[in-house]
Amino acid sequence: MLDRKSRSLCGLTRRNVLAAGASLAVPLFIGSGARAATGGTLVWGKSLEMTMLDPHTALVGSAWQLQYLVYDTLVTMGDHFEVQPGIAESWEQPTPSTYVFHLREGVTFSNGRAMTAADVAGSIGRVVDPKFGSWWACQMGSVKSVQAVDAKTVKIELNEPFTPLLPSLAASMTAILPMKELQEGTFNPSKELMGTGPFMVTAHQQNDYWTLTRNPHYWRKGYPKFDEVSIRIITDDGARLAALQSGAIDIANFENPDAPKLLQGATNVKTAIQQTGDLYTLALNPVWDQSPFRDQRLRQAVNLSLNREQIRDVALSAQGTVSGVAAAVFKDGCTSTIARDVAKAKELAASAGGLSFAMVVQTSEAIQRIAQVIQQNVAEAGIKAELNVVDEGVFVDKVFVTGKFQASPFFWSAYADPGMVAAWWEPSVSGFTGKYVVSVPELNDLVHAERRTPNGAERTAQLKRICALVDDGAQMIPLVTKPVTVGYRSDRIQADIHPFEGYNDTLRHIAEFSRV
Amino acid sequence: MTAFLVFASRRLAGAILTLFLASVTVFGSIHSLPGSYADVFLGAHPTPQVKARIEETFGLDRPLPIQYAKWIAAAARGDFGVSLVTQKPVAGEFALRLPVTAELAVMATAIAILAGIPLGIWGGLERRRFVSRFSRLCGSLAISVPDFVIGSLLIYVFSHYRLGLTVGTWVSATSNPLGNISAALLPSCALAALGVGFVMTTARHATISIRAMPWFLAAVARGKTAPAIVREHVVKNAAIPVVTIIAIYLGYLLGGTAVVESLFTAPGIGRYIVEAVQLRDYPVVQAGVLLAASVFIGLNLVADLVYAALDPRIRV
Repeated sequence: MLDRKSRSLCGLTRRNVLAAGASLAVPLFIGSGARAATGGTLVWGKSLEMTMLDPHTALVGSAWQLQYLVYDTLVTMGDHFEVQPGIAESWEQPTPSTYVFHLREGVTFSNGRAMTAADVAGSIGRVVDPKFGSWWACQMGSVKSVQAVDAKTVKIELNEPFTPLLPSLAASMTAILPMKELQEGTFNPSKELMGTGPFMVTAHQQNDYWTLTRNPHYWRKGYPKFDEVSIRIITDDGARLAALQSGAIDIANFENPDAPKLLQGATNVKTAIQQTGDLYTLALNPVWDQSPFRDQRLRQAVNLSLNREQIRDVALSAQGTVSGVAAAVFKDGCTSTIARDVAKAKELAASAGGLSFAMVVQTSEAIQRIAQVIQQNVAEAGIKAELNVVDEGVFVDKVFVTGKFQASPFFWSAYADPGMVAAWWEPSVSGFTGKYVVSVPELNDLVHAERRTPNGAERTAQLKRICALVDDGAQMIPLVTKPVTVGYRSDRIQADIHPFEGYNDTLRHIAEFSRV
Repeated sequence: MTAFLVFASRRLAGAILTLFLASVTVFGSIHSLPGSYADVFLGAHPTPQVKARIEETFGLDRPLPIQYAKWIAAAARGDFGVSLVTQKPVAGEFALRLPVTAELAVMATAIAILAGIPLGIWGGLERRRFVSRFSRLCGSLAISVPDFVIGSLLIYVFSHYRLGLTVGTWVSATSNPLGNISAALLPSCALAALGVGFVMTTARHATISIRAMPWFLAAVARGKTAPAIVREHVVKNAAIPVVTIIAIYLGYLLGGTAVVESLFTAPGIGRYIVEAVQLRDYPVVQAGVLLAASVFIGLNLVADLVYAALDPRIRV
C-alpha cells in the first residue's frame, strides 16, 4: 500500500489528479449537449412510482431515479464508475481518513437561497446520525465528524480509512437538503422535494404523474435544456412500449428482459442497454430452523446445479453478465468461481438424504423466469423446487422481516464500487441480513479489510477472495447482473444514455437532453 | 304505516350491522396480511429507528382495537384519514380519481347499450340459423374473453399500426378534452366487451320470448312494418330485463375496472386501491372497501324499502 508521501511522487498529489480530472470532465459533460435546442417538455414513461420522498431513507431505485432530478450530491459518477465533481468542484485527502471538499460557487436551492457548507455538513451528518437511522450509513464507513470548515469547505473525518466513501457520496441517499428550512420546519423531506438539482417539482398525483419544471437557480448555466419533464407512471411494460411507439411519451425505461427485442421493430425508437452492477442472487436460507439449507452440502448442491449462462440467456433474454458478488461490470469485479457439476450436485444432495425446497418468488417477470430456470436446473440434479409467487408485502415479510423462507431469488443494487454490495454478506455491517445470512469469520474480516484498503492490487486480491468465499458458502448466490433497457424516440429527442450506472440514475444526463 | 316503519327500522338496523361487520372484516383482513406498511416501505433494508418512527407517526404502534376504534369513529364523521404513502387526505385522493373511473364506466355502458341492444334484437328476430348461431357465438365470446386480453390486443393493434388513438397513457379531461376521449376510448371498449355480451344475450333472449307471444304474431298478421314492431313491441317489452342487466353491469364497472385501469394507465379508483393493497396503505384500502360496501348496502336497503312500499306482503 502506498503511503501519502509515495502518492505525492512527481508532484502528482491526489488533489491535483482529481482537480485535473474535474476540469477535463466538466467541459466534456457540458459540451455533449451544447449544440442542442432548448425548451419544451420531455415526457418520460416511468415504470414505478416513487413512494419514499426523503432521499436519506429512500431504499429503492424507483425513488433514486426521480430524486436525482431534484437533488445534487457532493460528487457524482462518470460513465464508467469514475468519481467526478458534483456540488464539490474539487476535494483532497490530507490523510487516509480525512476528506476536504471545496464547494462550487453559485449553487442555489430552488427556493432561491444559496447553498452553504452548513447544508452539506448537515445533510451528510443527518445520514450518518445513528438516531436518524439511515440504512445508507453503513455504506459510509465509520464517520467521526462532518464539519463546515468555512462557507465553501466541508471536512469529513473517518475513524479509519474507507475506500468506498467517495462512490457512496454520489448516492442520492446522501443528497444535499436545504437544512436551514428543514430545521426551521418549513421543509419536510418526506412530503416534498427541494434541492439544487436541474428540476423542481410543481405537480404530482400519486401513481399517475409528476410534473417537474426547470430550476431557475440551477448552477449549470444554460441547463437543463428542457423547460419541463412530465413523468407518467406506467407500470405495465406493454403499455409503456405502446406509449413510446405511439409517441405519447418520449423516453421510457424497461424492466422486462424482452424489451430490447420488442423495441427492435419500432419505428424511430432507439434502444440503449445500460449495464449495472445490480445482481440477481439466489438466497438459500441457512438460519431458519425449517430450511434444509442449514446444511452447507445442500446449498452447495444447488449452487453446483445452477446453469448461470442458461439463466442469463433464457430467463433474461441474454441480457446481463454472469457475475460474482463483486459485480463483473466493475474493473475489480469477478465472475462466478463455480463451474456447473450436476453429478457432484446429485452426490451432495444424496449424501444429505435428498432435497426438496420451496422458493418465495416476487411477481416481477424477470424474477419469475429466473426461478423457473433454477427449478429446471436443480431438477437435473434430482432436486425438487417448488415456486410460491407472492405479492411484495408477503415477500418482504417472509424474506426480510421474519426470515421464514427456504430459498428466494431477488436482486441487490451493487451501487458504484465493487466492494459495496459485499457488505450485505457481513451481517454485522448491514444489520439487516442477519435473518438469512450466517457470519463467516474469514469473509467478515475480508469485507472489513477491503473497505479499508485503497484501490490497487491488494484490494483486487481481497475482492477475488471474497467472491470465492461467497460462492463457496452459497448463502446468497450471485447469478447475473441486471441491466436496464432505455427506449427513446430518436425523431423527437436527443438523449445520451450512459453505458454504466450504479445508482439507478438512468437519465443521469437529462439536463443535456433536448428536443430534436 | 306502522308495519312499514317497523320493517324499515329492522332493515336499517340490519344495514348498519352489515356495514359494521364489513368495516371489521376489511380492517382485520388488511392488517392481518403479512408485511405491514412499515415493512413494505423499508423492504430489504429495515432499520429499527426508521421503522419505529413510521409506526409512531401513523399510530401503527398502537393495539389494533384502538386503531380500529379511532378509524371507524373518524370515518363515521366522514374523515377517512390520510394516505400513508402520500400523507394527503384519502377523501381528496378518491375525489381526484372518481371522475376517471366514472368516465370509463359510463363510456363502457354507452358502448354496451349502443352495440348490445341492436345486435341482441337482430339476433332474436332473425330466423336464419347461421345468424342465430353467429349472434350466440359473439355473445359468448364477448362474455368469456377477459377484458385484459381484449385490452392487450387493442393496445398492440393501436400502437403498432399507430391508428390515431392515445395508447399507454392518460390525458385528463380538463387539460385536453379531445385527447381525453382519445385516451378513454380503448379502455372503455375493453371494458364494454363484457357489457355488450351481457346486453346482447339478454336482449336476444327477451326478443325470442317476445316473438313467441300471441300479440307479436297478431302484430305481424296486422301487417305492421318490422321497424314498427321492434319499436312498439320488442323494445318496450325487452326493456325490463335489459335495463336490469345494464344497472348491474354499471355497478360492476364502478367497482371493477382495476385491471383495465392498470393496463391502460388510467388513474382511476380501482387501480389506486389495488396499488394501495400492494403498498399496505391501510387507510386507502379501508376507505375504498367501506365506500363500496356502503353503496351496495345502501342500494339494497332502498330496493327493500321500495319493494315493501309497493307490495305489503313483503313487510311480514
